[in-house]
Amino acid sequence: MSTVDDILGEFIDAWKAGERPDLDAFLERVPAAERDGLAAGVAAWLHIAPTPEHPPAARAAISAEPAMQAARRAAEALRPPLPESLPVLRERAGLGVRDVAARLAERFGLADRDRTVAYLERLERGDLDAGRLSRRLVDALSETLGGVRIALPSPPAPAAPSQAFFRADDEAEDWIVQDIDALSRAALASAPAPMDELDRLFLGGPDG
Amino acid sequence: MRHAYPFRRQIRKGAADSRVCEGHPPVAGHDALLLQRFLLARRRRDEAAARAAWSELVELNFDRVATLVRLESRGRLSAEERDDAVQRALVTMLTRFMDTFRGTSMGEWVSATRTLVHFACVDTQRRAAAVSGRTEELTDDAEAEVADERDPLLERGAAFLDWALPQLAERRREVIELDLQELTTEEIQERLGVSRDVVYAARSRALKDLAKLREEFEA
Repeated sequence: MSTVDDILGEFIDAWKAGERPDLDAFLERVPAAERDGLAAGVAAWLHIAPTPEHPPAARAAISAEPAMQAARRAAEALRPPLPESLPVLRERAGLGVRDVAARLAERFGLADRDRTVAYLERLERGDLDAGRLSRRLVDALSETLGGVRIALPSPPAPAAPSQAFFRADDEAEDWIVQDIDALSRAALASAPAPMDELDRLFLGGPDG
Repeated sequence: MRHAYPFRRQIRKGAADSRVCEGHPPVAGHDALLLQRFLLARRRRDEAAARAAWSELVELNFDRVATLVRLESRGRLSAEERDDAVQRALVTMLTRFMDTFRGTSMGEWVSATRTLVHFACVDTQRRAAAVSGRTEELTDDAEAEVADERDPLLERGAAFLDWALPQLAERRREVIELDLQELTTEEIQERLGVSRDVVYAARSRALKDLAKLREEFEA
């Protein structure tokens, strides 16, 4: 029996035992002239080899492999934003916008289905800030669309700390007047209608 | 638990041939169970469950991908480029491959993975060449054309062993079939009543035969 047969056999035994054999280490064990033969044998094996059942430590080591972790992060980043993915997921689930609206209405007791449809359409067009969706709504959408995991966009960065006020220069007076005018108009204007349940779902932010 | 490799299990469906599988119930391997879980979840449109099963399957096959990349890129990619090719293959597996895979067996999955790894290496070579200005021939034109029309779904993984195994000499076929059932070398020795050297030699020759047959099959 040649050395290649022996070392190939050991590689396969180690593979089957879930010991994660290192190809380079095995290749180094045979003379240079025989490495291609061993590599061909390993390749032929990998084309048919059952996936080994790794011991827990090996399994943990695979999870911690930098390439595996980087690939997971990259795959996550490649997921399209919600306005792009929502119509695809909806169609994959075999649902129209009205179907989704009906299910949301049923779940949250929403009376106005047309407004729900309108909100969903705005969301799919990208006219609605996905960051204002409530977690409750996202969970309901995930469930409605067949358990697909919908991630809320990352929250905005915290506001920069306020800066100290200094005495205004002369030319700033106009700005102050304009600001006071704007505030006065706002104070006199009638308050917007309070958010109802539907608004809170689509505009109330993660905790809405 | 020992079980028939799903590849063979599928092949055996309706074949009524259980030469060396007698006494081994055709229980699917853990990888095939994961694939089944993925396929079922996808059919139910349970995206979260499908993604979870698929991700686990990819992770379990990390070593297969990494070793295939090493084999594919021997002497052609630096260690860094190899890592890049592994990552490139894994990202594709975790994203596009999950959406496009239409097979139903691990044999098809592995075959498609092999194709995908090949193209990940080709992509990495091209990018490395573009960056470094390397001008040596990296892939032949035919391969480059195929790379633009890659479609791992066209792989015929499930059919290969069905066609190839009966063409092997009896001892070689027996050893490979028992390998596919995940028996250890010691168990194969015991089953066939032969020495370890005989198992190793038969296995090595069988794999050479299979490599040649694969070329013929894919031609």
